[in-house]
Amino acid sequence: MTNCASAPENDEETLLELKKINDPIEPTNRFIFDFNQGVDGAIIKPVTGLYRGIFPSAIRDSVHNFLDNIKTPVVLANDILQGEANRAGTTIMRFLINSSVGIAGLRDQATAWGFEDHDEDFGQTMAVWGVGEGPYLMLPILGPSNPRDAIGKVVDSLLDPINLWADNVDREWVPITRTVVGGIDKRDRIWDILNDLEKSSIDYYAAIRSLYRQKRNEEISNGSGDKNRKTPNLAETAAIEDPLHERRNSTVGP
Amino acid sequence: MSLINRGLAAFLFTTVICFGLSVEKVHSNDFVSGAEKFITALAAKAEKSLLSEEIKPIEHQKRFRKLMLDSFDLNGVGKWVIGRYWRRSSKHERAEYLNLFEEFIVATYSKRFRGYTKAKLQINGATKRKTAAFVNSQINREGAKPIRIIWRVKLLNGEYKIADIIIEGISWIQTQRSEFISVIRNNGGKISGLIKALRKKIIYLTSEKK
Repeated sequence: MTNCASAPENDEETLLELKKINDPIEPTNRFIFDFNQGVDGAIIKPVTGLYRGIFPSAIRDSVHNFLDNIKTPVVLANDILQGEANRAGTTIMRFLINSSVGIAGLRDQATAWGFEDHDEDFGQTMAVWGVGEGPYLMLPILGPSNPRDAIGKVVDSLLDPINLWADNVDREWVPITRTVVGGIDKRDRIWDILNDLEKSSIDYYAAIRSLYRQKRNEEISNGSGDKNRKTPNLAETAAIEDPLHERRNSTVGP
Repeated sequence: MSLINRGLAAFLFTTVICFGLSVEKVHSNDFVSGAEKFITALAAKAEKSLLSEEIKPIEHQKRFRKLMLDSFDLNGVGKWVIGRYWRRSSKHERAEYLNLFEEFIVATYSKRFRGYTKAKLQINGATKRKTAAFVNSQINREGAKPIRIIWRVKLLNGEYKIADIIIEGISWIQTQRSEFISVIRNNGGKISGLIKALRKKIIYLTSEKK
C-alpha cells in the first residue's frame, strides 16, 4: 500500500484516467459552463419558470408534441442514413397520425397507437458510421457536446426543410421563434432533474459531463446496449463490464 | 442547455422509487431467478414501508437507511466510485469516507422517496453476465413512456446485494464515480478534498427545508 499524498501526473494509471475523462480543455469548458450557468440563472430559468407558471402541463405537452412533429423530416433522414427501416416506418406513421388525428401535431396520438417516439440526429448517424465522439466540448448556451455531435447539429439544421423554406422566403423569425420556444421546452422538461442534480452533486460540471456521454451512448445504441452500435471511443462507459471487480481494484468487495 | 431527455429524467426519478429491501438469505442454486425474486421483493417492501404518506420524516429516513444498508453493496460501490484513490488513502480516511458516503446517499435520496406513491415497478426477467445478474424492469406511468431500469445484483456472502442501478442507460455508480474522481483530481489527487466536499454537501442537504 503506497501512501503517497498526491498523485504523480505521468504514470500509466493517470494517463488511463485522463483518457477516460477525455476532456483536454477542461478549464475552458468549465469557464463556458459557468457562463452558461449564469445565462441560465439570469434569463433561461426565469423565462421557463414564467412559462411553467402561465401554462398548465397539458398545454406545455402540446407545444412539445408540435415541436417534435415538425422535426420529423430530420429524424426520418437520419433513420434512413442509419439503415433503420423499421424506425423510418415508425417515424412516417407517427407523422401521418399526429399531423391528422393529432391535430397538426399538438397531440401525440401515435404513441397511444403503438408508434413510440424516438430521436435520431446526425451526430448519432455519424456514430453509427464509426465516427468517434472526440473530446468533450462545452458549447456556449447550447451546453454539453463534442466535435461529432456539434457538427451533427449543424448538419441537422441544414437538412431541415422548414429552415430551408424560411431561408428562401426571408422569414427569419420562423427559425428564431422555433429555437427560442424549443429551448424553453427543453429547459421545462428537465426542470426538476436539474434542480435535484444541482442540489445533490458535489461537482455539477463532472456530473453533467458523465450524464451527457451516457445518454448519448444510449441514444446511439437505440437503447439496445449493443456494443457494436456504441460510439467507438466512449471509453468511460465501455470499460465497465463488471465495475466492482475491475482488475486493479482488488481491495473491492468483502 | 441542450442536455435533456427522458434518460436523465429517469435517473433521478427512479433512484427515488427503488431503494431498499430486507435481507434475504439465499440458498438457491438459481442465482438469476433468485436475483429477480430479490428485486421483486424489494419493490414490494419499499412500497409498503417508504411510499406511504403517513410516516413522519424522521421515521421515514430511518426506514430508508435500513432498507438501503440491507439491500445495497454500499461499501463495494463506495470503494469503486473513487477508483485507484482507494489504494492511496489511509485506513482512517477510508473509514471516514465510507461513513460519509452512506450519509451522503441517505441525505440525497431519502427525501426523493416520498410522494411517488403511484408508480409501480414491473419486473421483466433477468440475465447473467459474469458474476452479476441484471434484472430488467420498468416503471409504468400513465400517459407516458415507461422508464427502463436495470438492477445489477451480486451475491455477497450468500446475500443478494444491489451493485448498480441503470436507468435508461444511465448508470448510477458510473455517474457518481465521474463526479467523485473529478473532485479528488481537483484537490491535488487527495481524498481529503472529497471528504471535505461530502461533509459540506451533507450539511447542506440535511439543513434544507422541504
